[in-house]
Amino acid sequence: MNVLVCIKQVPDNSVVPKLDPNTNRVVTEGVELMESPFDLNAVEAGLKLVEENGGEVSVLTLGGESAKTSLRYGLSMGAAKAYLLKDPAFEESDSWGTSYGLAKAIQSIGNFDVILCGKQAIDNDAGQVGPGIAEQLGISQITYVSEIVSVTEDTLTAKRVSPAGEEVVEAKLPVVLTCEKSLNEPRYPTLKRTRMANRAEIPEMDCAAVGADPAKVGKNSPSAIKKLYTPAPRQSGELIQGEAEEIAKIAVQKLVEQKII
Amino acid sequence: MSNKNSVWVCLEQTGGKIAGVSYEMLSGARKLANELSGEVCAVLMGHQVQAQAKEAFAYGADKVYVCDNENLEHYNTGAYCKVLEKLVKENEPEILLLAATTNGRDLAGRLASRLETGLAADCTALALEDGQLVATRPTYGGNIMAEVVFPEKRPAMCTIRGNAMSKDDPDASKTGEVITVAYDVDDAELRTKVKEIIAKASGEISLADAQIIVSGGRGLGDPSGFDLIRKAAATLGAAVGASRAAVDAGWIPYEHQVGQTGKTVSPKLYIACGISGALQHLAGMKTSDVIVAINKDEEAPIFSVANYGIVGDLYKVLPVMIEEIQKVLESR
Amino acid sequence: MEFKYTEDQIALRRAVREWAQSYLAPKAEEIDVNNRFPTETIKALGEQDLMGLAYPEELGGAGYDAISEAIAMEEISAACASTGSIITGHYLGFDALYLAGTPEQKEKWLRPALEGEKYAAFCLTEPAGGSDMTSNKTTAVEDGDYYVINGVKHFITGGAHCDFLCCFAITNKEDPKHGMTCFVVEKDTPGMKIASEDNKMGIRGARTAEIVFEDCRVPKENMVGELNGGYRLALDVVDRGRIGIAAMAVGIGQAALDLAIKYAKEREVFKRPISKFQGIQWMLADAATQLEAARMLTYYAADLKEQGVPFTKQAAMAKLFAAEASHKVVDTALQIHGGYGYMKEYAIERIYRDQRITELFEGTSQVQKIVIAGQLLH
Repeated sequence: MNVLVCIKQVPDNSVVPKLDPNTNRVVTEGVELMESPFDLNAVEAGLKLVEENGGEVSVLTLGGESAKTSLRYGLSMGAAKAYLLKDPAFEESDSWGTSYGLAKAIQSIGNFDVILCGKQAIDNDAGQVGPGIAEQLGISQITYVSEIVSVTEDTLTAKRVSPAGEEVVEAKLPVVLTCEKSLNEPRYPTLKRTRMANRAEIPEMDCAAVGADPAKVGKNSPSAIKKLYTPAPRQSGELIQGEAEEIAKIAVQKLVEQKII
Repeated sequence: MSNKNSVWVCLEQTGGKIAGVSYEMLSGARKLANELSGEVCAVLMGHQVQAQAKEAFAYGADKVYVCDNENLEHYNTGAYCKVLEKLVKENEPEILLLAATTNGRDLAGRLASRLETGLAADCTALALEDGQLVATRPTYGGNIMAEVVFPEKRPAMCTIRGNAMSKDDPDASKTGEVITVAYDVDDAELRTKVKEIIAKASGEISLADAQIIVSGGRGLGDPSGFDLIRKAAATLGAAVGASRAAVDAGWIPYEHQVGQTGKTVSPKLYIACGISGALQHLAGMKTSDVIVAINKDEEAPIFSVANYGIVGDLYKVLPVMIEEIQKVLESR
Repeated sequence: MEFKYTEDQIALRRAVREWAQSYLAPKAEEIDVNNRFPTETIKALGEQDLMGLAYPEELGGAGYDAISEAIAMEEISAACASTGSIITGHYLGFDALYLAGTPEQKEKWLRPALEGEKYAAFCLTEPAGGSDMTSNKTTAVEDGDYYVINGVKHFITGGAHCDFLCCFAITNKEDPKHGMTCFVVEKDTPGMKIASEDNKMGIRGARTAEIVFEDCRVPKENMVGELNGGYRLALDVVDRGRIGIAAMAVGIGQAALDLAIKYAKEREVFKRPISKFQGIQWMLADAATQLEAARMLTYYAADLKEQGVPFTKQAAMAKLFAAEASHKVVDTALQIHGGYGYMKEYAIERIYRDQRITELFEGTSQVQKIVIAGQLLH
């Protein structure tokens, strides 16, 4: 079973992102980078799948030179191969442009039984790239996967989070899964693998190499960001202090007065 | 009236029941359609949902396209996508809205990719500028807002977050046209099959649907603290939430986690008990209408977003609040 | 001279920090309170390749350089100083085998130690000896194919929990300096007995033991290095180990400084965070400067070791300076916490106690000065 995992490098989420007023972009300079957390659940799921079914895990990302760090992290967790899709044409791509590029890259790398993504990246918070890739490749998808139930020669069955609760879905292979945090606990890289990962060759692919039309992506994407802004900070209200019994009563009274309860 | 300039809403239904976010979308769609001088069309896919279709008129739909088939009883990516794709291609709507639920996002992502059109996910506001849709959506855990535009490709697609847009009062006198849509999807085309539906435990309200959420954090001290949180939630008809710290400690399952790596919620009332208010948690709940925080530490960051910050021991404060709330509810 | 982390060092720091903060840090308080040796941690350290980090891959190590080892020790000790000491004990425990072991011995004991299968202990210190090894009393006497060990060792880190230990015994009473030999003694060898475990002020998880040898017979093939070559061997092992203690001190200091900075930003008096007061700012600036100097000296000593040039003086300087800098930093950090810092609920209280050992073991600060002076004056 060959598995490919898409990873996205995002700014460290323990720091409040800032906007550059001149470029109207999120400031990335001097900001630590990390892998979007759900993507690490995806890597872990991939590693478990190949441990149980044989085969190997490849990791893929779309990004610049710095994104190699994220690929190396995937390798240090246990992935066998890593690929970087890197082309200035992809700058400012929307979800469509990104999934188009990644799908082209996947096709040019090889055949995979399972393709894994995080349920969403924690910078863009959209969660559209997984289904986008599945559609571009014309294969099945199971999104918001919380458990991989079973795998056969040509199917994969997974539990997913649905609006009503959960549901068990069987998909024909190949399949794209997008992963919830509850799916697993990502392993930590071991240090021997970390060292190996630092020495691994990471092939770079551009639009031409994967057969993607640069006129369809980046600034030419179907949607575009017109403006970014920081929402007005929420105003803090009043502090209620005093004896427990008294402040509890005051609080309920206020909620009733304001017709909140 | 032609379909040009029409605003379409794909109604979200579960178990034959239309979800609240659908009405919020219809109300929003109505406003856009009025500005565009277009009509609002709703799409309802499901099984034995004919009767529910009419509810859409009360919230502003001019037409409801109903595709009723046993294969649509449960959400299925391939089947739903095929039906909606056909309708969109035939009618060429200007705007298409879907719910930002796991199913809505599953469907929207697939369909947008197929139609090669733009999709703004999890929108909280929609507006028109020079007749063009501008969709506002939170990114970076709500720390940055993005305004998304759709230069050429149509329909402009958006998924809409629940409780983000206001719902108009229903007008039961309104009627419209119900158009029956044939289901012509070949089973062989379907690549996935729902094998089992696992409903939530009865009586449990999901975070996504909740109007009120009572959340507990590390300040509870130990897992049994959630007994008190559950009691408060039961009293208020609320869902139970939790901070990442409480989930990581194994006190409560992940599905209750509110925050950037959990669920983003926006209820009418959010009561945070023993939650200090880490950035990741605030990202998941700070758009709630009213936030009440109970915390011993006067300097806890949660107080910076709380409308009412109660400084005290939650084990002393919350039981009294539960009692007082019960009194208020009983007196009604 | 080049002050730049390698890719390996950057990736290693991140990997060790993330693992240590998630696995070790949550246990630190519990093992301190319960005075418990965390047996389960040994297995986890092995799985992360931390049991033989800077030893050659062909021997079973992870192949990192000496600066990487210092970085790892910093990160581990910042999360849990006891674990820093547990690893130090292990490295010291097998280092004689690495320096002087035969290929057979390396296969039998060193490889499993580096791969994390076996936990090693360093068995040198005696009640009478301490830093003065010539006063040691434990003897090994030849008897056929065996050596028979008699004596008492104490303060042996992990002594009650190790799979084997490298025991240094006198084989020529006339001239201990040229009459000491190293032997591998495996766990459960008849005649070796754990007399007691110590109740320490800090690093309480790194339990130390008193070990009594009573006619303990070890096969001759367990002799490490040459007969009567143990004194030099022990000095070499200790020399190499000092850099690890220096790094441990830096890590403990960093943990304390981080806590102090966090606390200073959060704690408000007179309606503003105490970090806004210049008095606090100067304390933090001094602490950070001390720590950075200690770190640089530590890396410098590690770099010399990596280059294979003499580093005895610099290792002793790093150990001396880092331990004392760390002392000042934890003291400052506790002071910034005010009365809260004196409470068990605050991690700084434990860190304050944990730090103190770095000025005592692997040669006290005074012994480091003797070593440094010896290098200056010889």
